[in-house]
Amino acid sequence: MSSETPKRYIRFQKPVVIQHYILMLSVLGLMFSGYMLYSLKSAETGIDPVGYFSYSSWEQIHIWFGILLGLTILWHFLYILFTLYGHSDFLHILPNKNDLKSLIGLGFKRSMIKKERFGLQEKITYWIIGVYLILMVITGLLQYANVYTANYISRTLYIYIDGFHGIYGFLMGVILTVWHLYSIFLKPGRFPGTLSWWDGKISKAEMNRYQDVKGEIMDDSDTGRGSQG
Amino acid sequence: MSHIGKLLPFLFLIVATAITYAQVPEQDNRCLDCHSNSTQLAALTEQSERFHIPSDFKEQSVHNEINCTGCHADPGGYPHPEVVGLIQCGSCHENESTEYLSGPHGNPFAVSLDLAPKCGDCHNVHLIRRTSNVLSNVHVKNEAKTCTQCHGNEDQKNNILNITNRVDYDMPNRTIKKGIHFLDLKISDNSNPLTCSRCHGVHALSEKIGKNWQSNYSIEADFCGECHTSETISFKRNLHFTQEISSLSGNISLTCTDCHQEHLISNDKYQYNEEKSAGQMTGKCIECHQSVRISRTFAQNVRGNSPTVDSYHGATNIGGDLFFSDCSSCHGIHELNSYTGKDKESVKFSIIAQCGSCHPNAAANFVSSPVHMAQGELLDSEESIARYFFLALIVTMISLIVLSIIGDFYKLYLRKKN
Repeated sequence: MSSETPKRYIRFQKPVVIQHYILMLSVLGLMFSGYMLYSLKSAETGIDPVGYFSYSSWEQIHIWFGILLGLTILWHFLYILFTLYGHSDFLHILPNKNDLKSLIGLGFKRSMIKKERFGLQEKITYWIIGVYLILMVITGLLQYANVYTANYISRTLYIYIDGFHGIYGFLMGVILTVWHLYSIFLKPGRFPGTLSWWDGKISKAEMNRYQDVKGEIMDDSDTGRGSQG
Repeated sequence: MSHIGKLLPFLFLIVATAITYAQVPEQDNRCLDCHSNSTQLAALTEQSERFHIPSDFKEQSVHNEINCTGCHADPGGYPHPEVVGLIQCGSCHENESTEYLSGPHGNPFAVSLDLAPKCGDCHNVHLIRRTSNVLSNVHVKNEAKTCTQCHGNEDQKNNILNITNRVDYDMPNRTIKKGIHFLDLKISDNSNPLTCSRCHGVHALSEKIGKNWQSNYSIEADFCGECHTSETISFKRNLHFTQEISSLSGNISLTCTDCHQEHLISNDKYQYNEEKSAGQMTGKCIECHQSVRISRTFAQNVRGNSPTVDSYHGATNIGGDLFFSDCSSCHGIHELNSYTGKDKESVKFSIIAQCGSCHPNAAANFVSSPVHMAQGELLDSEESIARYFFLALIVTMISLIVLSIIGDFYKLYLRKKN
């Protein structure tokens, strides 16, 4: 009987894992401080955040988490533009003909799914999250410079900016977070989930899931015995 | 020690008593024989405290030249008659007595005689000191305490309420002392605080504001204006002062105490009420301005409890920030920048200037935003459309998730089936 440690293969490089931590922290911080700001403006939440910080203090906390998120988004752009891994990931996540076929087949044709690094559902999730976060940052900046924003845009547009960055944006954030957590931990075939978000590594079984995929990134430097299967 | 030495303290006591005794008239000595002796009084009457008089009271009393019978009828020997004779302060203090009888404390039509405070209740009965004496009950420093013996007394609360029908006549001493007029050294130099009688008068209690303000509210503004001149001049041009509002008690306009309160007038810019918290100014304004009638009269729709609370200004206001914008930031306080009745263009320029004082880059488009968050039907419909749009977006997202979850489990089912 072998007492060797189960082999774990590097799925994500350390910078990717670190940015994911920062992303998690900033999103949670933004959602929490955003909800506190909303609570101050609305008696409906039943929370009294004034007991902890004033409106301005919550605003400052929100802004700093926003800066953190902005930096993470900037990192993503640089990662895509200047790294091989980034190029590869981005090209894999772009919509293509197979996605259309997959959509027509409602994603049930296994042969089509296996050929892609990211399935249709994963692509939709990532694109929605990406666009959502970028829009949240943009609307946040517009609200931060509210005097200039209000000077140059119509009131109607401002209502949409305010709504998107307000409680509706918060609700969308909650929904996307739940969806993301479901995809990682609860989805059939993935339950009870992966620890790749923790250290960037995956198990043999998880690795086998990707083995057919062209351009898969794996590295055996961790155990010295890993292989590309 | 010799016998004389042992007797020395007693001799000294006898001499001292004789000197004290010699200072008061013979007849008073007779009274004090009993009335300064607590033990003897206790043996004679159950109300020994009431009838007790300190033997040296005349040394401190302003009435030290007057004999007991100067105020009291001669009771003869003991036992005294049931009623010795009413004390008639007014026989000497005629003007004060007349004023007292015309005022709410002395007017038998206004108060029950049993409840009405008598001269001695404020001035003390026997130990009547000069008002300049810091130990006097009616010295400015002790005045609030003396008045609140009744006005801050829980037992008296209902009595006062029944007589006056005004709850604010119940005013604890500590509340009055929290007010700036009592405490602020710049105003009062601590030796002459602006205390009860400075506003209410002394005996008639209506010389200044007192009850007269109810019939003529300009009296109060004039009175406050004696010190707060510029504020009063501004306020008298103010819509609140010039425009009467019909109320149950007739047409009234607002006056100083409607916003500042009567007794607890704070020095804190943001504290217009008892509670020290930001936003009290707004709270004060909406006490009236959330009224539908007032809103209609001044063509201003307000929503919920506050016209501004839903806005950023309102949120910082209730959020405990010390720098925030409330009603007075735009409308002013005493001068009250009212936009009612002015033409649209001049209002627009005024508002741009007003907003610009805090938001230097504010332009016309900025100030076209509704000020009180809900000014008309158009905004409501715009907000409603936006609301439905976002709700539809959220429903779509949830549907997408549910569909993907159903798809995942259906694929699992198909895989297992094959």
